[in-house]
Amino acid sequence: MNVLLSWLKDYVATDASPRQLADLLTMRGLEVESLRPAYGYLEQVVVGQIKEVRPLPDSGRLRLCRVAADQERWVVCGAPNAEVGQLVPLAMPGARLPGGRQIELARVGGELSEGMLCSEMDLGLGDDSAGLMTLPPTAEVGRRLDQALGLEDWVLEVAVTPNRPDCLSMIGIAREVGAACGQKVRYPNVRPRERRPLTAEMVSVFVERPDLCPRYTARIVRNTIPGPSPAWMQARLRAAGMRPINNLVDVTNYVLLEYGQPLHAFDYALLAGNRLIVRAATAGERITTLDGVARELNEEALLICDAARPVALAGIMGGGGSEVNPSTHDVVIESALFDRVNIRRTSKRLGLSTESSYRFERGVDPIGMRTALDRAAQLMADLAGGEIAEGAIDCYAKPVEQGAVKLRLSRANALMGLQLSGTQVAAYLRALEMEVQPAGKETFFVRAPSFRMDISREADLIEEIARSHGYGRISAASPRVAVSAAPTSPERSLREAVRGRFMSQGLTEVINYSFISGSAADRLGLAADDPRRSGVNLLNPLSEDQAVMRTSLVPGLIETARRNVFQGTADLRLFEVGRIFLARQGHDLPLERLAAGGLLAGYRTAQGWHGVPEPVDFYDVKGVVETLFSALRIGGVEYAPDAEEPFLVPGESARLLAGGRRLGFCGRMLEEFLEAYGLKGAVYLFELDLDEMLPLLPCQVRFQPLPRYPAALRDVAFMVAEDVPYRRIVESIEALGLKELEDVRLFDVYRGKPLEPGYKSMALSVSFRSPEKTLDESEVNALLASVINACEQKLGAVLRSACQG
Amino acid sequence: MGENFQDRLEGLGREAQEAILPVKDLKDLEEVRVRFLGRKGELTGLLRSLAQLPVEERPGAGSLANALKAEISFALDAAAERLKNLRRVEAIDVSLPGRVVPLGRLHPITQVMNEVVGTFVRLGFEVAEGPEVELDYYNFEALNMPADHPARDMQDTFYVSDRVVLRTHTSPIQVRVMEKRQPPLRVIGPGRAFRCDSDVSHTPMFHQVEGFMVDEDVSMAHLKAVLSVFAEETFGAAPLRFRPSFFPFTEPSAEVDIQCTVCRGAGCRVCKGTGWMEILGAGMIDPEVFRIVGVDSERWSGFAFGMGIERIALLKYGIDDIRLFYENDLRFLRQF
Repeated sequence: MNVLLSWLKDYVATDASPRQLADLLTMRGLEVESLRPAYGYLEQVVVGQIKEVRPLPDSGRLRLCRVAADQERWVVCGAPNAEVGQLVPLAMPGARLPGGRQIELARVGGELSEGMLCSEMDLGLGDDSAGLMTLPPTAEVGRRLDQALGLEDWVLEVAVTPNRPDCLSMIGIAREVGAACGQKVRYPNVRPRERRPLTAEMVSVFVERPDLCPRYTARIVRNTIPGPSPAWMQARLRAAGMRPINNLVDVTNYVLLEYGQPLHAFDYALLAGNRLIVRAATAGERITTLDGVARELNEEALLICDAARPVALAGIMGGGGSEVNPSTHDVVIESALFDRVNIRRTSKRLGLSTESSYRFERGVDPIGMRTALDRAAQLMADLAGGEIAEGAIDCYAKPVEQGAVKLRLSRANALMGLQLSGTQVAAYLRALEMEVQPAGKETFFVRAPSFRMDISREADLIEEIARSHGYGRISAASPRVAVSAAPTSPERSLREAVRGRFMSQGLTEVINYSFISGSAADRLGLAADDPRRSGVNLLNPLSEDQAVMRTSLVPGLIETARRNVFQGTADLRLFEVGRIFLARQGHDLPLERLAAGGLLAGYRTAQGWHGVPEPVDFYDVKGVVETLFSALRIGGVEYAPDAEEPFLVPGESARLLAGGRRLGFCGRMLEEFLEAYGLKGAVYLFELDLDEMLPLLPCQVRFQPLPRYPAALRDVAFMVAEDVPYRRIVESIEALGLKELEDVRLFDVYRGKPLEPGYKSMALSVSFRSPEKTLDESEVNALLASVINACEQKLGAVLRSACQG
Repeated sequence: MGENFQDRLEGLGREAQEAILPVKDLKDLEEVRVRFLGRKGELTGLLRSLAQLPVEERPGAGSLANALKAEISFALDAAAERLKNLRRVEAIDVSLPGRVVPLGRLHPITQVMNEVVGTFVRLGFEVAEGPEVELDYYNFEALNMPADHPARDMQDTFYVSDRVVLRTHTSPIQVRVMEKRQPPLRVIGPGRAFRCDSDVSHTPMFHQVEGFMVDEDVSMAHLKAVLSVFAEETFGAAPLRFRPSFFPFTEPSAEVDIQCTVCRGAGCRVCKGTGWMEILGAGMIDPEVFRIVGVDSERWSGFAFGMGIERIALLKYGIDDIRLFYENDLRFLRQF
């Protein structure tokens, strides 16, 4: 709601500065979002003095004027009253005049015109359009016009919350200012001078659906002379953001802004049968609205019809063919009350929101609408020379009754943390035009005025009191509460632990949108029956790239990698922790799983003087998850070859299994899939299901006594066939069940001479220890022999060397 | 034992000490060693002269001489060690970059979120979460926003179906908790939320923290105290301003502003000249919400608040485009 300060002052007296007024409204819950000078549009208009007038040959009445302003300018002018020495407004190139006209350097009649000399009407400062506006001799040449004329006014842009439709009007805002400043509101003096005939003789109204139209009132203004409305009204409409059209339409808009009551004006002559019917549309019925769009309706839409056809989409927009126009003589003014929900539904369904529907769906004053009707009739009579027919149509089957609300002073004070007296509270409410009836010492019955439809409960009144008193005057007070240990969530702890572990391994956290492209599943080559294809689709995504809730963190990570590589950052260590969403049959809500994913690419370490940088490989990505499991004390994780993910290299990926649960995968992305994202080279990924890991977390750590006897270390190297994985060597050794076996650690893998092709050497460091004694040489040798034997027997390993470690 | 011999030993000890002290390099130190302990050295010479002592004095004198030898030896070794260290320091360029373990970073939103949640946890609030894909019932209806209510326009909603939305705020957490548990309650609900809006100051996904407290006699004065603690922890000592506003699920409702952290209230571009910046919405829980979740509003009262984490992060770090948070450019992320 744009509030023109000078207009507001018609209704309430205030000495407050524009800034003070803005703060006052903001602190009463009507946030002023901006405060701007109303004549800002005159910024490029200056005082000019005509120095010379030359005729322009062959161009009718156009003349060329030399004008002194900031500098001398030549301006082509058609005004008859241009004279040398005259002080006139000069709109310079770049100026935008009230009608929307943009002034540019232009060639007129063969001459370059460096601006435009303006009339009052051109500038929205008056109604005279016949000649140039003549400025007083005191006006300083070259000065901004608004400053030279001392024009000052302000527009306050007020954000009105949905509960306060009454403040979608000048009078509504004035009431708030009045309540704050202790001033009474000066309502317009509405007393229409009526003349025969009776309105009821000229038109009849039948409301078929009083449930959707609880009140319908109308008046007729006869013998109007349509034309432009006066400059002051046009200026006010423009300041409010509306375009002046003619005096009849402008009056309806003016009263809409003044009272917040949407009005509609019909041309009486264009209404068939002199009657209006308010009825629901039939399914598929069409109406062409004033904006020229043919709209198909459902049976919920409410129509205003004449005897022959629909003439308006009730509460939203008038229909074409019945509206007032430059030759309208007699005007039917409609001021009605429509059902909020009904208007909202139709407006939403048609995607047509207007000043009118916006107010109806929030609620209009069922009493004030009648005053607004009279006000409009009176203004039309005053400005368009009409006569008001006697009486008004008023179909009001069931008058709206606003009940009294009980208010307990103690309750109000307790909720606000204040100690207000009954007198204070009553004064606050009365200032808001409420009726306050005391009932006992601490109880009141309060009746809100008809325009305050948001007041129906005690809590609503308490808010009014708090607002009037000022939130700033409520002092902070520490709550007194019983101590209690807030329960912790294991899921949350795990999530934070995971973040910390990844960060400490040099991975940087990213946060991607929870929605991804609908084609992401295809881009990863997921199988038709992959559960990650059962994504949750948005009905109204912002774009195709954000259409489906993610079922994996992988697409987001790759997208992030792509963006960074594009920006020149090629060495990537990224992770993300967040939810994924899997649709479930028979459930409204999807399954939300907590996932952690990561991506490594480029070099492991930055180029530096310490050594040659090496590219990341599978064992980097595996190391990240291994370190995580180790930090979380999740043991026994198996890395089964081939992640069985269509987008990973089968021979360079692993499934992560533990305790019969599938925890996730890690591996290298197939290059053909990287290409789909414009990436190349080696990219390693992992994704973990944190919800699956939760049950594996140990609840308590137990202390292990420190060993009392030394360990014996032995290094052995075996030659084994290429297809024997390291895991099998460890398993073979562990299968021996040697209680003295403490640890097996791989320290070298070698391929090449003197080994045969197809074979590799694996060097292990094996440690033995007894909790009871120091193992002697022969015992250690025997243990080592059984280890060697197991590897030879089970894996066909050939011992290459064995020595003390 | 001859006084003479003992004096000479002591004298020699002092001399050795004085000789070792000023030595600047290992070569000079070697000379000192030769001078005292070498084959023709002074102490060696003295040891040889033991033979001239009476037999009964020889063992005592011998052990004294050997002790001195050990002492000088030790002093020489210590000096050598010190000199070697000196040399090492001279030998390397300590200005070369060290070997560092690459450091990862948490996303700035995670950092701010943890900070905010941490503040309330320290105040005794427990953490609760809820689904991000939410029923219309929890997101709107139970929060006093029935279907066709204009207040729904305040939030541009992503729909999954008629009944399912992406939650537009974290307030449904309030409903879900109160539906299951009776007061007293002190809960903080962090999480993601979604609205179909995208520009310099809006991203379609964002983070919020919802908080509420329900107990006997909870008042707006308490709300102010709790939020003041939060603001002080988060922004330092900057004044707060509470002004009336509207949320369907609180009554009275408040918008809370903090004095502009850039201009300290003088008015600047960041605060659009007002001197204040909006940081959160709050209010007393509406009796209608209590009725819907089955909490007796005559016995219990409570406050609730909700804040956008992105907004707080923007203010804290002086970031001017919210979209940077989700572009995940490492040059951005590594700054935090």
